[in-house]
Amino acid sequence: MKPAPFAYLRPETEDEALDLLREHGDEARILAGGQSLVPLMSMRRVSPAAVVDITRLPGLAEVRDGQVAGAEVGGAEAGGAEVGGAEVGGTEVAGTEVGALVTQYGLEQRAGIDDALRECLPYTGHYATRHRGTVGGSIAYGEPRGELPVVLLALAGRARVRSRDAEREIAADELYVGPYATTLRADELLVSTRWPAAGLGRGSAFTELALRQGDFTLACAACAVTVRDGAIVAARVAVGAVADRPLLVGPAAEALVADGPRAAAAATRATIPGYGDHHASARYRRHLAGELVADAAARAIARAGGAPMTEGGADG
Amino acid sequence: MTDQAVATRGWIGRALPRFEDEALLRGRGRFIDDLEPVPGAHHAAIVRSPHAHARIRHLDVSAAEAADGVTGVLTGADVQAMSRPFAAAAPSPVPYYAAAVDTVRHVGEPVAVVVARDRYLAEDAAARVRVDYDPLAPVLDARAAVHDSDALVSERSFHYGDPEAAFAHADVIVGGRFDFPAWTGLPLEGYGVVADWDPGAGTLTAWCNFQGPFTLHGVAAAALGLPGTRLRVITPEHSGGSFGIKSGVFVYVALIGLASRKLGVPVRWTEDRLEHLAASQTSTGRCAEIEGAFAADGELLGVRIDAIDDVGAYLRAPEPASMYRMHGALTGAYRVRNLALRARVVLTNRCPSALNRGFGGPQHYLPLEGMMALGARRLRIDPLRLAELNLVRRFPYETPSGGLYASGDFAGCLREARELSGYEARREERRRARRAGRLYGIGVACVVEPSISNMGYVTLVEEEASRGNALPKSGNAEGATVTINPAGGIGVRVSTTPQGQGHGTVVAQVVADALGVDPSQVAVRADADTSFSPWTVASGNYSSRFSGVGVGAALRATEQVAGKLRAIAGHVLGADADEIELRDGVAHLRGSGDGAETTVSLRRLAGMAHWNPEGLPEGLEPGLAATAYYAAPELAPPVDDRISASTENGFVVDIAVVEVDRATGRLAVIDYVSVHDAGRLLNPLLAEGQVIGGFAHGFGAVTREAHAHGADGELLTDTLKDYLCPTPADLPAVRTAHRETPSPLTPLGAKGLGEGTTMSVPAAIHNAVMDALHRDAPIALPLTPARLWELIDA
Amino acid sequence: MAEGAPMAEGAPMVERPISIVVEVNGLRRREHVMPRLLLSDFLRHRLGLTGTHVGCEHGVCGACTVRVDGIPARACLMFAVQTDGCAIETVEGLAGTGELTPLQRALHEAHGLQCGFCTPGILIAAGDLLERRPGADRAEIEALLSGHVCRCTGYRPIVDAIERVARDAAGHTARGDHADDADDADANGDPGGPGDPGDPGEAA
Ligand code: FES
Ligand code: FES
Repeated sequence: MKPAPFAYLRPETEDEALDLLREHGDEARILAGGQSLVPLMSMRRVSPAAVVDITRLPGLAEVRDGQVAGAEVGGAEAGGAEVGGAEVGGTEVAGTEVGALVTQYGLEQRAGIDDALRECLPYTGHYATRHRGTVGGSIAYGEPRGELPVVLLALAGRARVRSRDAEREIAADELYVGPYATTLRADELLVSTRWPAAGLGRGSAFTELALRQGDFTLACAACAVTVRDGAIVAARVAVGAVADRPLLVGPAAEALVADGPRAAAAATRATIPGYGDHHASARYRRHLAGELVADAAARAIARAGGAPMTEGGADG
Repeated sequence: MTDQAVATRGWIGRALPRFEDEALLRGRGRFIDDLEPVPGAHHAAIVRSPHAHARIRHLDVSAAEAADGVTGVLTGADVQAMSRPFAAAAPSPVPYYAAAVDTVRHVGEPVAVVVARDRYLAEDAAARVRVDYDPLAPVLDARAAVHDSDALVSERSFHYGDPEAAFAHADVIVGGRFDFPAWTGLPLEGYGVVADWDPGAGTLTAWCNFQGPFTLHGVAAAALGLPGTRLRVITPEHSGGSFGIKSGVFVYVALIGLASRKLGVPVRWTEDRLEHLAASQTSTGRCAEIEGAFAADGELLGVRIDAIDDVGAYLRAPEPASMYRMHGALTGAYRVRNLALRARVVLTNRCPSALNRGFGGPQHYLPLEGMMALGARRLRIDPLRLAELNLVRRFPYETPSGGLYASGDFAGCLREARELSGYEARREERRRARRAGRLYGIGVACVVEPSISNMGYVTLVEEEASRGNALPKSGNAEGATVTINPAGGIGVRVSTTPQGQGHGTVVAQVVADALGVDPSQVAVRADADTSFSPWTVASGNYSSRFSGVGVGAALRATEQVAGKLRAIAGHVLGADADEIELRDGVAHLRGSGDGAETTVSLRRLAGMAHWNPEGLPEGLEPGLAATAYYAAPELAPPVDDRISASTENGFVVDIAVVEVDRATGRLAVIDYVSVHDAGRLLNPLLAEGQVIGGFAHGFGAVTREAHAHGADGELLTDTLKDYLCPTPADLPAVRTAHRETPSPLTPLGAKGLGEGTTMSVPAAIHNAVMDALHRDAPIALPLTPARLWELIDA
Repeated sequence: MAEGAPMAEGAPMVERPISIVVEVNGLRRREHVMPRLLLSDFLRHRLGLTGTHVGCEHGVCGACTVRVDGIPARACLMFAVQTDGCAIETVEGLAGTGELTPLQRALHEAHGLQCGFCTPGILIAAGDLLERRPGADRAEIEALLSGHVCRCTGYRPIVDAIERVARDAAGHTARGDHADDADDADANGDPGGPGDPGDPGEAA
């Protein structure tokens, strides 16, 4: 169980890194925390000709609070739900910009981050792997069972990416297109992720059932809601480990706005495909995802200051 | 014999932390992969089958041989030409070589061994070996395999008492199918071998983390065509766990030994985790159907069992032993006299099975105790009460199948468990919980824990008539050597090949008491060398045999040395040897003061024995060393298919209280009580460690650990991200208690206790979950949230 | 750019060693390593620091856990080249040639190790946790240990041992209020243990 040979490239600057990515294209893999990549290489399931070690690039390990370009929860884009008059997406909202090399543990220790984000981090790995595993890596890897992508989706976060010629932002909704497949191009480097924060009238929550915490997720869910005058006016719901990619569940968000957490659970079950393996059937995963959505939704609503529409969640 | 030791004891029974720890805590363990026992060993990577069953159409190793840094390649054809199939405890329809010859029969089966300058290059070259396979349909269903004569290894039936009459007269008959899928103790350290073939001497030396039984040394030697003396097996000082699994390293002693022989260089192979999960060894899968006949008052009248053992792709010695390991205790804790067993063993396309903690016990008690739970439910008798009604109460007790329960207090253990768990309060809590719609259950398991296996039990696989043709097999013996050097240093060598059980500390306690010294002065070596260690065919670390025979041999050797010390001291002090007492590192003349004329130090006695043979009493040999062997009593070969399959039988009563979450199917253990009677505890700290460690294995097996295969036989549990071991947050805080009914059969009254909870926990938890879900039928293992929710939702 | 990285594209991969300087347990080492050499293999087989164990090589078992620049790391999930210029701490460096650390002693006294294969990784990770969060509670300790497979002990004595050290650090004494004191009499106040000539009759 030893990796195949590769060329080790360690750029000192972001520009140098982008040159290398352009040069090597699909032949290269970016090494950040390495907590997913290295085992795949040791098992020879992935054998890149070149490895671009970005861990020493300056400026990518910072967390900044402030205004981030992000959608108001419940923006008009697919997957969110709103009731009349809510703001449309793409506005500047308060939030956190997380450099690609910020570690899961590092972010976990940071005060003032969004609730769902804080709640999901302990599930992203083990104590030692979270010290090296990066937030950027988790987002870019596109693991269908990953926690961070689910939260990014629920919060309508964004990924900031750079290539040699351009810089762009990708909305979470547009990021995941298949198992371990994202819309990042081979010459692009994810430089940071942007996480809208909970504010007045907004709340979020994350929940997961793992068969072995840090290793094996049966299903996970994140919800973000906006509450005004005690009523939910906008919501986003995302689930993980139930399909070939992290999923935003539009009908669940609509049901949540209209009829509350149990309705969101039912809509989740009706919408998601679910997949089965030797640990759990697709039917169970669909059911579980619904329970987790109901739980996350109820807690998000409570945090937003909404009426407790908790007919019982997963922890009930 | 033991009275002398008893007179001066004091260390035995203490919760003494281990002497083994310090080196391990400092990172100074000496595990197989840490050692460089020969200079310049080359490194092996093994090419393995990705298929569960396929014909090898073509194997091309030329590109690998030409690759950078490669020494050479050993193929299955080489293996066939250079060795014989491994023998097992029964004839097998399929010959078992160390590598596949023309057909692969399980995922991970070795196909070729590539040897290179280092492991990285070996793996590069292994990737260049071309194998064309014709996939064949895999056999994964043991129940179907019994109809296939190429798969059926053995079939036997046993009758004790009059089971037909018992069932005819029963008021209530309950039963069901209880299947126990294969899982693994999964030692954290995998297999490792360094093999060095000496062409001149025709000798293979193999350093490896073997755990015994040493019968398997003979199996490997025979496969290699070597007399035992030409296969020297050396185990390192430390081994990273085994739980039975490392018995299978003998297969790789042969395979890597053949690579060394063919290529003319020493070869090292360290198994990686993917290899381990796919191909090392697993527990034996069992499909069992059981029926119990009860009288209306709860008396258990008869038991019928139809068991099929799935031993995987090849019959690996000592299989099919798993089927017979429990034979003396088939009726468990109960007085029932009428018993029928149909025992079939089949080959499938899974990894070969053999020893794994509990060996046959978890697979036996899941159905037996499950049947009791079903009986209680049907009879409307509380399960603890039903067990109590049927418990063996008078000892010694001979079971219908020939087992001997020499001592015990089963009823006392059960009472203690009832109190410790707060049983009545738990039942009340269950009533309340159920009224609130919660899925709350209580499960009981009563388990007789055999220890110190009778080597003869495996011969039950043969019909009574044919058994007579072979050398009779029985017993379980162990050897030990005790030496005292000229400076008074005490050394002990044992062949019990521990992997963390603390044999060194316990032997030091035992020897310290027998010689009247501090245990820190006793240096115990438990690394074995078949050329130098005192061993028997039964040596090794299995069937919880250490505290009986391992200790027995060490004690006997120590007593011989102590006798000599007393003789010399008596000579010096002008007294009889039996007037001398050894204590505090000094020989004392009994009943006198501590003056110079009435004592002599052990150090001085040792000096005399070594330096001044002339000054020794008449007829006494010089030196101070003894090698002694100890065989457990009461272990005869089988007669009339009845056998005392184990010397000792401890007892365990577990009470599990669980709740299943209706919404997610998640299982929570609310309370778990485990009461043990393992005779006298030689070191309670280590005893508790075995009980809690064994609990984790049983808990893993019942809740999540099982190997899983896809429809084409592919292994789904091929990494530790898919084969899920429990974490501390999953494991409940077990509450334990120990009773100590001394064994009359072992030298210090101890019974084995390393496997009891691994046997009891699956049954107790399964019963509790059946109770929680109001089930009248067994639930398939493992009890994952998905499976439980499907039942709740149905 | 790191030195020695091959540049050619498409040509068969020729591995070239890269020179690195690391400080391991306080000792500076300059070594030439192939890019693909795992840190675990580098420590064990190049530097002879075999206390760092390898139990899975895919990041689950935790046996290989070391610290790189004061941060815990799975040595099987890093390449040695990545540690160029870094300080590495392994189990061998914990006590060095001196006395066992309180955590090592606590594991010994609680019988928190059997085969000892998981122990080095647990010592490093738990030591790191206690450094960052000196009063870590039981739940944190259990969460930490979910990243360390121990197949022998069933974990409880390991959790007990770490918790005891955490409590001592938090200013409590272990004496008197510890749930499992009865289980390990020798550990309680009296260092006891091997070599303690105390009265053999007194123990539980
Ligand atoms: S060997 Fe590195 S985590 Fe298992
Ligand atoms: S002590 Fe053996 S794995 Fe932990």
